[in-house]
Amino acid sequence: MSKISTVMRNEYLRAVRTKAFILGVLLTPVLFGASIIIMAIAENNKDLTDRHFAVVDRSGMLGAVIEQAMQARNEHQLYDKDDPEEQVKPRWIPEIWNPADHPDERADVVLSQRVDDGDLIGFLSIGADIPALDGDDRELAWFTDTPTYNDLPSALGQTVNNTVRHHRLTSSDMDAELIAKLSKSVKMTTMGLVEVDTDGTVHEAEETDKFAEIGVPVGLAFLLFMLVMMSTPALMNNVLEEKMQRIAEVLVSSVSPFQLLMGKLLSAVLVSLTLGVIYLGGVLIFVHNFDKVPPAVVEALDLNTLLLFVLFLVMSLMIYGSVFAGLGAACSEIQDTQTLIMPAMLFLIMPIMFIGPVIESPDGTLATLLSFFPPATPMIMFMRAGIPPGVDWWELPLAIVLCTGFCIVSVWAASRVFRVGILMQGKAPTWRQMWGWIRAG
Amino acid sequence: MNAVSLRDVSRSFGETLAVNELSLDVPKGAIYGFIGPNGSGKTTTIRMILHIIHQDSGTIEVLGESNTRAANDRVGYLPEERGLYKKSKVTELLSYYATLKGMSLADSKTEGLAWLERFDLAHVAKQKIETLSKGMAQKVQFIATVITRPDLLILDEPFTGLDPVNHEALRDSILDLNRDGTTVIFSTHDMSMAERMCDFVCMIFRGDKVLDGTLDEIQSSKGEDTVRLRFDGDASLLEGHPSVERVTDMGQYQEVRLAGDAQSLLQHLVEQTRVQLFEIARPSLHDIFVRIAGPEAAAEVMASAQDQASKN
Repeated sequence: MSKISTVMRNEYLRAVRTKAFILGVLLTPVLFGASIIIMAIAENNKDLTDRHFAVVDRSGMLGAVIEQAMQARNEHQLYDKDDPEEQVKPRWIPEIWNPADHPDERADVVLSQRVDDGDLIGFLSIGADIPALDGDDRELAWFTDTPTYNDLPSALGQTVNNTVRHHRLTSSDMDAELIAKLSKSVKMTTMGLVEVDTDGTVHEAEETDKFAEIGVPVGLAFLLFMLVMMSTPALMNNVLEEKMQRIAEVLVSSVSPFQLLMGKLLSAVLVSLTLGVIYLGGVLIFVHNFDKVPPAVVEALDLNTLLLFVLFLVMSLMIYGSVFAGLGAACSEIQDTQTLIMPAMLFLIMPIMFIGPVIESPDGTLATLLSFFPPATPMIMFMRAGIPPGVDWWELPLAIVLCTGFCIVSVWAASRVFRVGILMQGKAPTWRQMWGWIRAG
Repeated sequence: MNAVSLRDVSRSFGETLAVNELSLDVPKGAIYGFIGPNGSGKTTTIRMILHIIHQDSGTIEVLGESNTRAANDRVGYLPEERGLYKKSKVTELLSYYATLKGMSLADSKTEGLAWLERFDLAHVAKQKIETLSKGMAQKVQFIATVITRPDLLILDEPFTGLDPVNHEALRDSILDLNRDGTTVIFSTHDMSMAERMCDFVCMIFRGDKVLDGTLDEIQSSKGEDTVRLRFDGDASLLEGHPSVERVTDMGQYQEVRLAGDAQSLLQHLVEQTRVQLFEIARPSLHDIFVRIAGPEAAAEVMASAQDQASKN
């Protein structure tokens, strides 16, 4: 055990004392913080240029309504709620294009040219029969060369629809006030479930916080993936370097190949835990000291979640660390690793590809099956356990047992490949040859 | 009492028999030369002694421990193919290698500095390996091997790539360690080096042991049938003489294996040229090897020696 700890200590110190590690630790939050600042700056530096657009109103009624709606918006909705002096949205300035005033011109041709010239951002074409329930000219279309700017056409569509609906109802001799009351929309909230204790006490349902319920487990799963990605492929290079630099033979004359492998694996675990403590510690300090963080997020980052995170992180590191260390021992040149690394990387990245279906249906068949497939268990089961409705009582222990078993098999198989490969020079083995090494022992 | 004993040890790699039923004893306190051409099975045997690889059959006892790695902490090993962590500082590297052998961190620092001073390397103690010259790095490598003052020191081609000054320094250190009680197993294909340093010699060729014993015993067993000659002119003067069985050019002199009377050869030479050296001697290890393994094997050894010379 002391030899394993000696290797672990040396590997750990060699890893964390490098400039790359220190820069990586510092740069990650700096880049993260910088991206938030840049987003905030971008938010504050929105393009506030006036947006001119035309309305081709063949209905004869909607153009004026749009003009009024835009005027009201430009007077009351352009400024920051907390700072009435600060404009945060651009003005939308309509230009009513009455076809009757231009009998010799095709509206769409003329206005398309003006959009193309940059004079307008787009134009709205309203058919003559839009307010009615039937008729031939029922076109309502937004013409533009910047379809990604969606705020304006959305607002225009909403204004037209509200006006048309109101017009149709009032045309049916109904009371305008009553219509407004009856058509008022209601807000729907998403609630959790009511819980009943064994003594019959009922705990009322609470409003759910999507960010806390999905964002926290998914964010932590991403962190887990990132930490495994940062440590385990590096193990392959580390072992390969010792082979290429002819250091391995001296080491295995002092420690057994298994002790060397375990020392390296435990060092990778320690390095990842160091990074995890730094990053998660930063997050915890932030959420506990920043008032704007919703309480649900603070609650979601409880001790049980963090312990489960550490457990699955360690398992993932042992599985992928042993695989990559074994591959490093099997290869003699960096080029050899290119072909062998692909399958291992696919297994490592696979859970990321299934995040969508897992969030959509955390207790669905796909998510459940994946969470019991050991190479994917750490990430998928961690997410499933965190995202409501959570997992059944037996699922987590079973997944942990399966994953632990797979960990042991991975380390055992890797140690056999490691023992044969570490002193071997020359052409890289095939997967079949490595299987032979594992079986022969 | 033996430091290392091998009994009927064999090891194959696939179809290739690397070591064939090898038995040998390395007495405690000896400098034991393990000689033979490249690919003869020396490194495989050393790796089995260290339990880096396992023998297919036979028993291996090292410092009283049979068939386990238990003695490895008391063994220092300098492999033929060797390297160091380039990014590590010298003292950190020495401490790592020493602690792997069970030495305490504090002792490793003290011993490391003492060895560095001995090799005039104290000034590079805090430097990274990548900043050292090749000779310095080789000395650091040697210090890493002996820092724990092992009971058994196994050196596989230790002088490869060394300049004469470092060669001398390393040789003196090995002899000092041996005087202090360390048993030294010294693997080389340079037979003249083995002759100069070793008390005991084991010659291995194509997996088989072909010679084993003290240098004196081995050379005496062949009798004094060798003449070392230096004269004006070239070796063609020796051609066709009935007393000459074989001539080997040793650079500074010719080594002649006698088939007849030494005096008639001397008379023949004196009549034709000026003789500078005429010494009746025991055969060299190289010559003994040629007698046992044949001229083809000798050519292999010469090629290995030339290869090493070109590395130096």
